[in-house]
Parts: sequence; structure tokens; C-alpha cells
Amino acid sequence: MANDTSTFVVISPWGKRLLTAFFVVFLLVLYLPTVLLVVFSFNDGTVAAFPLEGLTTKYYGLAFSSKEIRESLGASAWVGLGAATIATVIALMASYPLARRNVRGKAFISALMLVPLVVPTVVLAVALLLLFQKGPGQVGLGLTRIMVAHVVIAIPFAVLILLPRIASIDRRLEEAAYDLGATGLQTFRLVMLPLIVPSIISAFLISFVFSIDEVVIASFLSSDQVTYPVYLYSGLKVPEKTQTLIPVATIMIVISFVLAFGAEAIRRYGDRRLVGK
Amino acid sequence: MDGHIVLDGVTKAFGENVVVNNIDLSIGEGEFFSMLGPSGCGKTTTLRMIAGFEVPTEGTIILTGTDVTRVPPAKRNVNMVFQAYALFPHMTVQENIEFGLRIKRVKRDEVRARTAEAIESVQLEGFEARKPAQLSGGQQQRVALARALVNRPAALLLDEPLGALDMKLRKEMQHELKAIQVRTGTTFVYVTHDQEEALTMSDRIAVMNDGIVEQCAGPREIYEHPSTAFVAGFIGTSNIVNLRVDRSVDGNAVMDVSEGNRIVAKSDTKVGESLQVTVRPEKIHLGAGGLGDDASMVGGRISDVVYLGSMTQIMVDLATGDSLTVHRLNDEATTTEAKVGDTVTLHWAAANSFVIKGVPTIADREGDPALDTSDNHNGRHNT
Ligand SMILES: Nc1ncnc2c1ncn2[C@@H]1O[C@H](COP(=O)(O)OP(=O)(O)OP(=O)(O)O)[C@@H](O)[C@H]1O
Ligand SMILES: [Mg+2]
Repeated sequence: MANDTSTFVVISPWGKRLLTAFFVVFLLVLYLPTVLLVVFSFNDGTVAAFPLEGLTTKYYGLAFSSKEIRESLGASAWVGLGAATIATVIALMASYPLARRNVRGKAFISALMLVPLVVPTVVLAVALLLLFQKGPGQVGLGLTRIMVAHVVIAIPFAVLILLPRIASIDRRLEEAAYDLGATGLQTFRLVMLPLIVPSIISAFLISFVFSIDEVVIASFLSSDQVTYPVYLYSGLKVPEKTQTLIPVATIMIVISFVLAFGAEAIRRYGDRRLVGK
Repeated sequence: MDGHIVLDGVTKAFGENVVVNNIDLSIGEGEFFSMLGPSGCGKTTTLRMIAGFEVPTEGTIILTGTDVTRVPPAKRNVNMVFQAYALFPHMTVQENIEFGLRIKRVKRDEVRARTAEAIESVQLEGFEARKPAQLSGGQQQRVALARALVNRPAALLLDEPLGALDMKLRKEMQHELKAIQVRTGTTFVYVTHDQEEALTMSDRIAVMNDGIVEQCAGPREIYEHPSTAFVAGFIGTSNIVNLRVDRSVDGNAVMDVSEGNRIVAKSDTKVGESLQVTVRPEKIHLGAGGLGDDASMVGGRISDVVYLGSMTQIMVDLATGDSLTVHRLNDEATTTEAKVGDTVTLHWAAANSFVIKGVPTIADREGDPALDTSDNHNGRHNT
């Protein structure tokens, strides 16, 4: 599509240069800090600054031999996987009727689901803290609380990925399946699910990436155990810890990138599959 | 009532809006039955009630002797061919066609045999491994057909199955569909708003308008003996003439237009009352002619001449105020050229005047009924 239309847009040579310049600046702003972080993770020195004092991988070794770091990574993985799974399932169960049935107050329900997107995270964190400590919703230990909170915030992302996909599937495909004798469950399993699986994976990955990156709520709600971003944030205030934090941060960035790109690639694959190309 | 599919007093309302109004239909086994009508007249809704996707507000639907009014689609032995085909995009042609049989847990060998047979009957050999998007519109249409036929349904329900195809392919598929129907002996319930399609393919046609069946009969009967003004106007080009009965002779109602000029129709309507009569443009001849006493003969002035290739369409304004469309073949016998402004005499045989029921709607009177053969006859554009 984009290719088709771009041929009709006439841009002057200067316009092109300007656009290119803009794009380069944009990329720099976006990725320079990340690249610096990666570079410093191999720096053989105690301060993250130029000039580099030589290349080493010893901090990677140090980082992973630290019990605290390993525990915080484990906590992040646990919270992330749990939150992503629960959020995706809830989002799927909510999106399906919203896309398919004539639910009363559809617009209102949709808006309600998306509220966590626009409420400032700090406000949400405080609210959740109050709820978990004083309110009726006292939920287990620190990590479970964080997971629940992440579920709440990940749901809108998952819904935003799933709802349009489900809505875009021709209702007559389901009718055709019923017509050929399929039950509701068979129709979902054999016709709908294969067409939305890419979006489900995509929603899961996005929720997971969100959770392992999230620091505000996690730090408000954590007690004895902290997730990695929280550990990282607190560790930055202790100079001797900094160099061991950077390698792990680098790995987190790489994982996040891979997952985000993976999610997008899968979503696109699903789009193509839907039109069958 | 007996019949393969019977609709008995079926009504469907969406809220206040009555879309199908007390329809009675009886469709025979192995019949090619069409539902024809303008957009929004309730064809799809009727078909969907037979398929089970809509539940009638009132009335019953009987399928092979069983009341299925409230039976869900999965449990009815009918299959639907959707207008946009609704093929499963992630499955191959083979998998699409097998779907119904596998759901019904038919044995593997039989699934294979029947699928192969269905693929052969729609001439799709060699395409089994393709996905729907890798097929042309006509091929997708065949897959949809095979996917339904492979289940050996008691009836196949087709909702404007050729609507998305271009003219040429449409004609080809019409022949092919009819051939498949005849070969398999399957009952077809066929929805279309294309009158030519309905006339060429069907054993019987139900002409629908505004939720009711105006006439249900064979193509020839529908074309030559339209029983209502709507049918006359919707099928082909038709003339509607108002006839005030001046005399009644031998079971014929006669209106004397002027000395020697008269319009005649077979009717026992009393003197003084009025009738509406249709006559097809190709049945009207120019000239005084040598037809019998009971033939209609009327003079007028040519108001328009349109050359249509194999024939010429001539509009004649009558002294009565009505206007007639005449089709004249451009064969070698036709030597004189009709010109606008010429005074002519028209005549047609008594057997070609048909008395119709009902009064034309306002829309019919405003537009020229004789020329209005478009799909949206009543000017509605509901889909
Ligand atoms: N689910 C529905 N809810 C409300 N109104 C409906 C619904 N389905 C159909 N209608 C209305 O019923 C009327 C008949 O619709 P239907 O689809 O049966 O027409 P149709 O004869 O198939 O027309 P077309 O030739 O355009 O397909 C239309 O006015 C339509 O708006
Ligand atoms: Mg329709």
C-alpha cells in the first residue's frame, strides 16, 4: 500500500534531503543512548565515560555471578510471563464479544478497557498501592501484586492488538463453518484461532516486554523481592554496582528489541495470512 | 403442503421493520428455484431463514418433511454458498472442501473419494494445494460450490453467487452452475437480482418485492403473463396500458379509442370499469396489420427512436395519453425507417394483452414504467 501511494507523492530534491536529515537525527536520538550503553558494557573501567579503558567481558561474568541480579532477573521473568499470559487471555475473552456481538454499551466498555493507557503511571501506582495495602484487594506477596498491576496495564495493549484483528475477520467465515456443521467451539478452534494466533502471540510478547521494562509501579509495589528494572534503578545510585548493571541492561535491551520486532513480524505474517498471500 | 422445502406464512421483522411479510413457498426436490427482486426486498433474509441464520418472527419452515424453523444451521441438511464465497483463507482448496465432511467425522477414505469427486465436478483438478487468495474469482466460486456440494445437501442455497464476477465469466458460470445442478439433481435455491440470470437458469422464479412474493411461476409464465404491475415492470421491458371498458364482447373487454381503433384484453370486467393491461414490446407490430376482430389496434405518434443493434426501440405516444414501447427486429423485411414525428398504427394479437392485478406505484407512474427495468425499481438502495 505505502509503496503504491508514495509513487504519487512528489517531493523536491531539497525536501528529500531534509527528510533524510530528519530521519537520521530521529534515529540518533532514538538509538544513540542504547548504542552507548552497549559500548560501555564492554568498557574495562569503573566509570561509564569516554575514553574507553579497553575492552572486556568480565562485567558480564560478574553480573551473572551476582545472586541479587539473578534473583531480580528471575522475578522479572516470572512477573512478565504471568502478566503477559493473564493479560492476553483476558484481552482475548473481552475482544471476542466486543468485536462480534452487539454488546450493549460497546463503546463505553472499549473506552473503559483503554483507560489504563491514559492514566499517568504514577497515579495508577499510588492507587494500586492503596488498594493492595488498605483496600479490600490485599493480594499476596510483592511479586504477585506487581503481576496483577501489570496485567491491568497490559490489557489495553493486548486489546488494541487483538480487537482490530478479530473485527477484521469476515463474520461469514464463522457462518460458513456453522453452515458446514461445526459447533461454536469447533468454529473458534478451526477457523478463528488459526487466523488470530499471530495476533495472540504478538499481544503476549508486547505485554511481556511492557512488564519487564516497567519500573514505576514495580518499585511502588515491591517489598522484599524486586524486579530487574527496580534493582537497576536503585543500583545506579551505588557507583561500584553500576558496571555490573550495564551488561544486564544491555541484554534486556536486546531481548526487548528481539521480542518487539518478533511481535511485529508475527503480526504482519498474520495480516498476510488473513488475505492469504 | 408438500414439497422439499416449504415456507408457510413466514414473516421476519427486525424490530419494527417487517422485511419478509407472510411468505408461502413450496420448492420441489431437484428444482432450480430462484428468488428475484430489487435490492432490499428480503431475498437474502429469506434464504438465511432457510439456512437457519435467522429465525422467522412468524411461520414455519419445513425441510424434507421436518419442521426446522428453530433448528440451528449446523443441524440442517442445507448448505449455503455465500456471495463473497467466505472461503477459509488459511486452508487450501482441498482443506476447504473437506471441512464439512471432517466435521461430520466421515471416514478418511470416503472423505478423500468425495472430495476428489467434488473437485472434479467443478473442474478444479490441480488446484487442491492452493490457498483461496491464489485463485481467480471464478475459481473461488467453484471452491465454494464444491465445499457445499460435497456434503450432498438436501438443498443448496446460493446468495447472488455470480455477483462478483465480470459479465463474460458470469455467463460461463451460469451454464456451468445449471449443468452441475442438473447433473447432481440437487435442489438449488438461488437468489439474484438479475432477471436475465433468473429467466435463463430457473425452473421456477419467485419475484419478490418489499417482503412479499408478487408472483411465483416458471420463467415463461413470468415473462409472458406477469400477474402484477410490479412483475411486468421488473421483468424485461413492459408496457402498461390503462383500459376503460366500453364494450364487453365474447369474454373480451374492449376500449374504443377512436373509429376502428381499440384495445382489447381477455377479461369479464364490467362496462365502465377500468383495467390495466400489459403488452411486451416485441409483440407489438407497426402498421394496420391483418389480425382478427379481437386484436388491439391503436394509432399514435413516434416520440423516440433508439437503434439497439439487432432491433430498434420505438416509443409511440397514443391518443389515450399512454405511451408504448415497441421493439422491431432489424431484419431484411424491415425496409422503412421509423422517424420521430411519424404517425403510425400499432397492433397486437388479443393473446398478448394481459390483465394485471394491482395498481402501479407512484414511482412507476413518475418514471416511464416501460423503460424502468433497473434493479432498484422502487428507487430503494438497501443492501
Ligand atoms: N440484521 C438485520 N437487522 C436489521 N435490518 C436488516 C437486517 N438484515 C437485513 N435487514 C433489512 O432487511 C431488508 C431486506 O434485506 P435483505 O438483505 O434480505 O435484502 P435483499 O433482497 O437480499 O437485497 P440485496 O439484493 O441488496 O442483497 C433491508 O432493508 C435490510 O436493511
Ligand atoms: Mg441480498
